[in-house]
Amino acid sequence: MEIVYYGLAGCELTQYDGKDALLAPEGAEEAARQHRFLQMPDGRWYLFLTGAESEYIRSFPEGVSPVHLGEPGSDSGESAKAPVWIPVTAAALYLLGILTMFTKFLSGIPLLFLTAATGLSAFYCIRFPRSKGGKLLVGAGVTISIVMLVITIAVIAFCVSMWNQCMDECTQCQGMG
Amino acid sequence: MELRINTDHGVIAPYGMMILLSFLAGTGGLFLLNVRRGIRKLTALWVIPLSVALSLCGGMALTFLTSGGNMIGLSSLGGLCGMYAACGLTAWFSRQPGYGIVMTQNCTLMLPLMYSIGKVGCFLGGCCGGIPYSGAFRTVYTGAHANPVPSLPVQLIESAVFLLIFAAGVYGFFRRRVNTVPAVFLVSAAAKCLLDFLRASHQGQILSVPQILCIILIAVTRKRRGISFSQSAD
Repeated sequence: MEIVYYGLAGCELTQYDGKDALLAPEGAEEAARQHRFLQMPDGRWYLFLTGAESEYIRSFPEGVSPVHLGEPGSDSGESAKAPVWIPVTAAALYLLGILTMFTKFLSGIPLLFLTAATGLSAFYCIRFPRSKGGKLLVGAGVTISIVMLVITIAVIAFCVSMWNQCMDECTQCQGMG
Repeated sequence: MELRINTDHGVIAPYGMMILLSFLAGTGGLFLLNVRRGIRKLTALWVIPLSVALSLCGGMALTFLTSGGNMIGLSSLGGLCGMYAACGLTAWFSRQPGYGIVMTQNCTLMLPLMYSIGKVGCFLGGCCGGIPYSGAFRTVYTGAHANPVPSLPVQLIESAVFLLIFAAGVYGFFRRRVNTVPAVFLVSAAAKCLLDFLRASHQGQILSVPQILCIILIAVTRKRRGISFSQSAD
């Protein structure tokens, strides 16, 4: 049975690892990539169908071909309103994680806060990719990471230079290090 | 030939630098593989910080648990669980069928490289050392983690073995050998289990905790081969 998936013609209904999937036509790698097909270890591109998609296709009798799934040019992705509480909570957890780094109480706590914040941020940005809050969160995260990396490198370079200076000036330290 | 390693490292800890390098190489490779195989870039990007965070959490949690709450360190098996958890969570967030399988497979391919780089850090830092040994390349540690007894540089052996496993896995994967990923997982678990016998920490034990965990992983993987790792078009 031939399936036309959001304008991509020549797809074939098949099974992969026991799940219903569409097999992209040969030579359509770029188009398949844009339509959320995934490349499996055998090198071919498969789209794993949702339950609803699978049911819809199987509702057509054998011999009816091609079956159209989705309108060409439209987005197969979802759009939903993004809740505000998620980025706010993530920001609060990031702040808590950074603040608790300066305390020695329960040394694993900062890591837990930062991990939870990262998890929430990932959930928000992946689940609601079109939200402005998500884009801001990604932008802020990338900026903070770059700034922290630059600061880390600068601090290390400064410490190395101070250490070398100390070793040069300290006559009693000859032979150490 | 004797290797003498001074574990007084000054301001830059070689162990920390190698762990950082292993994360950079591993998550970078994971990102590239994910995007190449059709994972959305935004999803593939978020796997990076999540896998670092969960790896650290998993690594520390496992050492905390296995030491009976006496110490916190970085366990490679805990880190492995963290990496897989990150892939699974990100796939769940995306709600895209198939993402979990693809990201887990890519993670399996990159883990041997991360372990290999991390083991170089262990060698330079003086931890996870080998059994007493007086042959070629025997290693003597001085400084903060001094050990005057020459030992086998098992960390370098592990690093070389896992680098080979990584190279073989990448080769098999790009040659489209369908069973590459489960083979990499099983061979890695078996190698870790066997090389553990050469560690100083294994002395006096029949089977160590990492070995028991590896055996469990091998058993579970072989049982689940038909569900998760074994890839075949029906």
